[in-house]
Amino acid sequence: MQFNSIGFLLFLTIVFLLYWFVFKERKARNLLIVISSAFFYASWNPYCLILIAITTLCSYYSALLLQRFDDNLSLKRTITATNIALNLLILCVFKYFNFFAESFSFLLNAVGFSADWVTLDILLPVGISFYTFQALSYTIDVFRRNIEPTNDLVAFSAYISFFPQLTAGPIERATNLLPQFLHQRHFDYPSAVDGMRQILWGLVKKMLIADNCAMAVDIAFRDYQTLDGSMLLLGAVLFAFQIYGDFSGYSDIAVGCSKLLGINLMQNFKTPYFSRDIAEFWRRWHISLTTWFRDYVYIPLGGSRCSKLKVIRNTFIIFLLSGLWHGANWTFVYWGLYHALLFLPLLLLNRNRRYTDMPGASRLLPSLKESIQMLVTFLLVVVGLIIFRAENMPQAIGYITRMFTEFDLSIPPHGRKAAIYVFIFVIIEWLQRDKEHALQLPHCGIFNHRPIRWSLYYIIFILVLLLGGTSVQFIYFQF
Amino acid sequence: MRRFITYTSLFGLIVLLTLMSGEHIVRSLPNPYKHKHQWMLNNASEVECLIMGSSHTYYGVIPTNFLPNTFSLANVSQNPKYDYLLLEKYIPMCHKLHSVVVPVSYVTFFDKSLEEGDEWFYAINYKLYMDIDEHPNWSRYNFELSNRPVYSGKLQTYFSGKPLPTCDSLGFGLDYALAAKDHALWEKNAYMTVDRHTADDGEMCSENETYLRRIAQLCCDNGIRLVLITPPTWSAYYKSLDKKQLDKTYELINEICHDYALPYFDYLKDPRFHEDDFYDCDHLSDIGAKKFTTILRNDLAER
Repeated sequence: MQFNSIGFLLFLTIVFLLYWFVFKERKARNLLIVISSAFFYASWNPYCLILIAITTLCSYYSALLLQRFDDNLSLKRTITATNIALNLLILCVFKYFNFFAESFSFLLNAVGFSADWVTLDILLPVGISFYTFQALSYTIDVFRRNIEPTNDLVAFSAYISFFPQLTAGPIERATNLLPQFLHQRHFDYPSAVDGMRQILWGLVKKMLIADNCAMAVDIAFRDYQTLDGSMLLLGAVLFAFQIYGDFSGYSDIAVGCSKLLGINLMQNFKTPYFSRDIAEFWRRWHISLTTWFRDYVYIPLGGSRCSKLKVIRNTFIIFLLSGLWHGANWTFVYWGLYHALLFLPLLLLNRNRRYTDMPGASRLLPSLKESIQMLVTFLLVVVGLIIFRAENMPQAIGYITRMFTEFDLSIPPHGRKAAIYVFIFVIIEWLQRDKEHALQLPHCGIFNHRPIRWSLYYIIFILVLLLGGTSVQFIYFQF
Repeated sequence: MRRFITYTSLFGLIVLLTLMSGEHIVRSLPNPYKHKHQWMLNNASEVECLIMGSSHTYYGVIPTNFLPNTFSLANVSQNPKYDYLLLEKYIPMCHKLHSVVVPVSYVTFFDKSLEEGDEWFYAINYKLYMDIDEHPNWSRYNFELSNRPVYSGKLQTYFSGKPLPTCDSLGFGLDYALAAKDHALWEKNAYMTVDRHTADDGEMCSENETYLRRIAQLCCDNGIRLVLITPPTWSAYYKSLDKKQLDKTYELINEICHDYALPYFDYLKDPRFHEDDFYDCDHLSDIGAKKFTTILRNDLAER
């Protein structure tokens, strides 16, 4: 059930009405969330419900065991480690088994041993990377005593399986999301309205931007050996906006749907393409994942408060893991490595937290310096995304090489319409860069009048309907 | 909450009215399905020959150049099931009908059900415009809006004043003119087309064969001559075909022809067709259609 489908609209409407008008008691509402989330997830593959149930129960009971043996640190470590190992084992089997099997087989063949490793015909459960990490964060936070374990299984199940963010994040923390299920929710009109606007903006990103970029991107990457450099550059830039529109659009819809149900999710993107360096980019892109790795991998390894060698090691570990998290392919690993190499100099020179404010703060346009910084950072990100999108490294290298060596100023034959949409989109995102989403309009001037606002929403909705590209599955569902 | 429900419902109503208006506009636009249905209702009693099948015959056989009083009921992506449903519907109206031409190509037996594939939206046209009642009234097949890209594409074309894809008065498709051919890519795309036409398994063979047999039986019961043909394709296409699928196709054709004593004409690798006769690797251009129609007419006359 895709977010941009009539089926989901009907589903959300029914859940919304039942949630606020029928199931008024907290526990009943949580139960509704669990049942509707199970229905939502089952629409992808009903058998995967078993996996999410295993993850939920393991994490739930592990946390209760941690509470029970609170004074036995050694046992607590064992319980936590077992829970982490079990969850990661499930993730590895379903996501990485074939990758590791084939890579191991390749390695053996390379050194002269004949190996015909068994690969499994396994369907990747949608969203497994997201809910597994969400479950892990709960167990680790209980171990660290950041949160009290809950004995409300229904609330906990709602936390793990909450349908708006189940299949593609944001990866929520138990400290933020779980308490919301443990307390009664009350309908908040401004929040619900803002949720509707955020859903609309998410649809703009997904259907108007991402789906319209998709075709030109497919052509560029399929025929890169015959296309000239300008088309390849455009293809790569459009892919940057395809993945941004797709993923952040999904996040916006997820956050918007949650607001309708009185739940607040974290912001997952903060206009990352306006970043002035790579460090700032990683503070604005897929925030839930980067902070997860920071808090649960980087900092426990020592973070930046250790020797320079260990800082380098830690940086490489989190970027490589981050790359690997995205998929079972060496291109993702190399993508992570690429970003590690870009990030490391900033970290070692203590320049990774230079830019924490909004670019072009209190100005209409960015300064020349900021413009150059943003452009350079964006191009660096685009090159990385070529590796991310390519099927293998030879294709990525071939694409990048040809993009530079065959570059000319000819008008690309494909993607011009998408490029116009992207240009307008960037302007709007820039003007609204300090807002959670671009449709958070100021309640002053012409926007103070409801007919004006409604006319704008109406026009946007009709444009999405008429100009939206052919529907393509959300990219991050495969992760 | 009441305010929220009220305003959301009001906004939703405005959007719904807009969509319904769009639905009405799209349905009122001319399209080949509507034209063919209306034409048959008015002229079926005069029809002597029907051309069925998919785009291969929709763009490949010109009724005006074929047998007298020929009409084309071929449509893009039309499969044996819809061939049968259309014949079942219209044969009772065609008192003078003596011949039906049905194409059987490399993809015919192995093609997925129309409703299961990426081109499911073509099934909407049969329900909305040709009165083929295969799906419930509240299914997605009852609304143009169900396929948003096509719906919005038609609206955009309408508002821009550009002509929509159409057919001539006797149902022949007019979009594959040689002048519009992509000379750079037409041959390169052959491999992708073959890949798309090659099935992973023969899961659909039985169902498609059943419908072809039903067509044969229907024609037999009504004293109508059924002719099976395999339209011409370009060498880059037929040289890439999967041998197993091709052999199975011929095996099934031969069985059906044997069981119902049907004539069969195979033009898959016919050397009389040259580059300009093709719009793409498996469809004829308007020039090629003229040539093919003449050849087929003469071959039928000899049999």
